[in-house]
Amino acid sequence: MKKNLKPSRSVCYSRRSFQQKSLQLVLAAHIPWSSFSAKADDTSTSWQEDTTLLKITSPKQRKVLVNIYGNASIKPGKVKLSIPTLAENGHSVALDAWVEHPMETQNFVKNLQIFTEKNPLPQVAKFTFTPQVAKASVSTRIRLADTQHILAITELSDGSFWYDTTKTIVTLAACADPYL
Amino acid sequence: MIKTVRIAIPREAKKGEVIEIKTLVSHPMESGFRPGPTGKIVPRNIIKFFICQYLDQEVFKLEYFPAIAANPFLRFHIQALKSGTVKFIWIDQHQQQHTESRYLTVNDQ
Amino acid sequence: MISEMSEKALTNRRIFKSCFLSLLLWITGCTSQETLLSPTLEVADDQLISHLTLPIVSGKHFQSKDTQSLQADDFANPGMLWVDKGLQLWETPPSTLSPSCAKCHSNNLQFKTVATRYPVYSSSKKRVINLEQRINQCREQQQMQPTWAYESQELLSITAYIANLSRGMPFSVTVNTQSLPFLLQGQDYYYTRRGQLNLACFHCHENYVGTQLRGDKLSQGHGNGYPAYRLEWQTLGSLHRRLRACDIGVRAEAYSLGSTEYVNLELYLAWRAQNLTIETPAVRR
Repeated sequence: MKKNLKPSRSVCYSRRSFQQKSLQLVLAAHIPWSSFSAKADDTSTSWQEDTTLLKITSPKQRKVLVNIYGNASIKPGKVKLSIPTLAENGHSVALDAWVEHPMETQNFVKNLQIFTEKNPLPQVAKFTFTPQVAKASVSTRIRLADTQHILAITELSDGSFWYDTTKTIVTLAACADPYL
Repeated sequence: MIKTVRIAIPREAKKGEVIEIKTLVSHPMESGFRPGPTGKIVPRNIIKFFICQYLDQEVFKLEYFPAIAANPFLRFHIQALKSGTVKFIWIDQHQQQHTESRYLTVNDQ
Repeated sequence: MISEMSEKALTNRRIFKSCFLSLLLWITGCTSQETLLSPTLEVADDQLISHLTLPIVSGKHFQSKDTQSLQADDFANPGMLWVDKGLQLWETPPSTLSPSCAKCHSNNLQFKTVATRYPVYSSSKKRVINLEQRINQCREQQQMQPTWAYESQELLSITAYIANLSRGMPFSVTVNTQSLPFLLQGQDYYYTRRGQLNLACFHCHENYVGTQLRGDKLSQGHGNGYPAYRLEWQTLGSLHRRLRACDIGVRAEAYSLGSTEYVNLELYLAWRAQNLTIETPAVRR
């Protein structure tokens, strides 16, 4: 009976192939694998790589954000946005926003901006604070064209940016009400 | 043009106390996207800026956009440091200004 | 499988199918629009009625919590801007020769309840008039000034101010031999179908109270909060403006602001609301 004397590839390791494989492993260990996953809390990451922000913003809104913030890193947190989940009328929706951050002379909240996803103009308001404000908490009433996400971005005196987002459903009136 | 203004600010405060200020002004805040009775778009007519000055220094500023509701309401805070005038200035897109002042008495205790 | 069924089984199957279809058609027929709405009501000419069987409830309870809290906030309620303006008009003499409203009416303690009594029969005009028309009558005859146009900012402001004085007080319109014919005309309007949609007021505001009409919850249709700040208008408006909106909503030809039809209807609504309190300036969507 003829025996199959040829050894299988998996069994035969020469010194050369062992050296090649070891070199590959060492090189692989030096590749920055972490940079391939988009992490929102990575300080060096642009806001344009934040999947949440990409999901809740429209292309028109993103153009405005690029004009204002460039490629800065905008992290979730510090700012809180409160809007009713269901808005009875899009002409006047209550908005409360506050930033959980001290307001000291050298360390304070510089500004707070509100943006919308589906309004004809994405910008809604820009609140500019000074340390004399003492509490970065504001309320106003805004117009919402449609059911959409609202985005609040705050800039601190240390140059960092933080955001919060919420979604509101806007219902339609029953009957068309003409001018008068 | 702003015709009626409501301002809620305490007359007195303790030194260092954070006070809440509320304002309500009558203004149509015409967005510039709404069709009028003839079907033509009504031109934009909004307030552009609100500035609060305390002791002659600008402490708070708000830049309005058309998405702010008509007859805008605003609530914000300032810290009472010294007795003095708190000035409220509204500037619309036509550069017309409307100013209101209130005197705040700050007690040392 | 069908080929294996006997002829009898096939017939039974067909009978069952046709019975089921008939039942389905009957159910659809029962729930058709015509049957859901009550038939045209037969009302005697001299009989005052209201078919509102539910407890009388203000329109504010049919608004969202945000809208209700906006109305309750006396500072942030946008309608109060008109009340402030109304107070200014109340106290300012229109000219050096004319008295201000305050000069004649400030000492009259009963004046605070005046909005609860309107619309009222006017012996000079031989018809019922509402608060706006009474203000204009005063302006013309006592102040010697031109009347304010209906829905003008001045008339809205002064009406809002006077109605606000009666806030918290119940309606108390007079029903007597003089006002009854006009009250019945208002009632007739309320129960008459109109417009392309062929609906009367009672169809929505009695039969479907509490149900959704798109994003709106149907109220009982009381006018106790008017002049009211409507979010849809982004301004304060009169009851007649709201009635016009309703008529246009059912694709009917709307009457003009201040027309006798709407004043009669306003009187009927004030009677129908019974002891509902005035809420001017209300906030509605």
